Amino acid sequence: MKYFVSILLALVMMLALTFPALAATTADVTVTYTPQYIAIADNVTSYDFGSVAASANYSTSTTYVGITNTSSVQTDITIAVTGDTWTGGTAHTHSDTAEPGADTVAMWANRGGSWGTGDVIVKYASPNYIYENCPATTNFNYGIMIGTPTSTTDGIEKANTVRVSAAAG
Amino acid sequence: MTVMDERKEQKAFFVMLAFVIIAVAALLSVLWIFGQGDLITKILISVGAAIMLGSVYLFLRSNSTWLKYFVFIVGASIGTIALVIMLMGCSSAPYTPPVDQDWITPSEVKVSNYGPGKEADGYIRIHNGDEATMQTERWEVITDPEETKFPICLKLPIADLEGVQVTSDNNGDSPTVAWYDEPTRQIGLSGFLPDAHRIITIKYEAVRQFAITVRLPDHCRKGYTPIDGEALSYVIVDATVSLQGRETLDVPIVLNVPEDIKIGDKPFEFWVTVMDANPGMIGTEMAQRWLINGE
Repeated sequence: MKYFVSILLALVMMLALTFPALAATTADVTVTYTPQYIAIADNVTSYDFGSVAASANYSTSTTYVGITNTSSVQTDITIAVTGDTWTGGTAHTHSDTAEPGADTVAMWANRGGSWGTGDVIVKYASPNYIYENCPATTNFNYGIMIGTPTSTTDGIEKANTVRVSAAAG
Repeated sequence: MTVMDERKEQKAFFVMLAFVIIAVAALLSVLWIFGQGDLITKILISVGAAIMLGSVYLFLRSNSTWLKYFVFIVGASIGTIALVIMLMGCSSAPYTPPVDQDWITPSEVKVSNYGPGKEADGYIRIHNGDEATMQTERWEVITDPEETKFPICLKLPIADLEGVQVTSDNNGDSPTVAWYDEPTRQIGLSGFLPDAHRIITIKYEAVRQFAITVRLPDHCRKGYTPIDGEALSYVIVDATVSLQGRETLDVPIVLNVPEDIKIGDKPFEFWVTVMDANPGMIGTEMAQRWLINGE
């Protein structure tokens, strides 16, 4: 009997907590929310590859960036660059197919493994997952690698921003 | 009572004492980690329950009266049931968001019976996990003849105007804050020698800015498609918000697509994302899903 009551109580608790926390209406439009938290942060804000040669790959370690994920739910986490070009002087095009070319840069990411195994193309449009189905409150690390252009118009420093985005899975 | 019996009673007492200590420690460990709900938590709870059962077994092997056996078996059973309840409830325990981390909530907003010409109101709650930070800016200023005051546009908004400190390396200056315009972050400074050169240092407590973006999703929920790009412009939300250290703010969001804009019949999705307004070259972004179902 005690077991039955306990299990019943636990089920009621779980159902109560998964019920929408708030419901509001405007006309006949219904808006509902689920009280879950998305919380991610990183421990570095930049990396300078320095002076690079043409047609070469340069990488950080695959654990260079530490992501602290304290989200209360499973998340799908993508990685992207925020610019379709690398700014500075004559802009370099960012290749979403990871194919370096004339004034064209490629980028990959790797989540704590070895370069060459499980690398993810870092794109501008339709970003790839760096961690799909990341469990709640699970941290991870990643690194980035660039493929430099086959030729460049100028030697001015180029920059782009890498963005890791988390949404409820 | 013989010496042997006395020793057995002492042994039984210490076993009981050990049992109570272990049981209390197990329960405390459960309470300490209560709410985490991950695999490690469950393993720890299971270990706690196992320790409790093990201590019961040890107690049963000791020599004591059956009445004591009965009392402690019942006690241990109740304790074990309590652990099982906690174990089952752990995954659904209320989550307390960390104070020292940025976060957003809710993670998902569902809108039903929506169509062009209707309005849906929501919000996103943003928490700044940083403590207030002191910002220092240095400016080189040369005043014109008869010029004793000038404005400066600060890099970040001021959290506390009274705490602003302005100093000059020109001993003839007596700099003071004359005014501050929050929207433009311009601060008016006065008390400077005309026709003179100086390096001024401004120290102030800055608030942190977050950029809010309405954008197409990187990936959609099953059954949903990205919202039409044109409709995105009818999601109304502040582009940036300023938060003081450890502050939490609710930012209203309004979806108000005009009647003459087509948004399609299929359920669609867009994201409202939050990112540090000055992320550097590597940054993180937190997304709130908006899932819209038509009429």
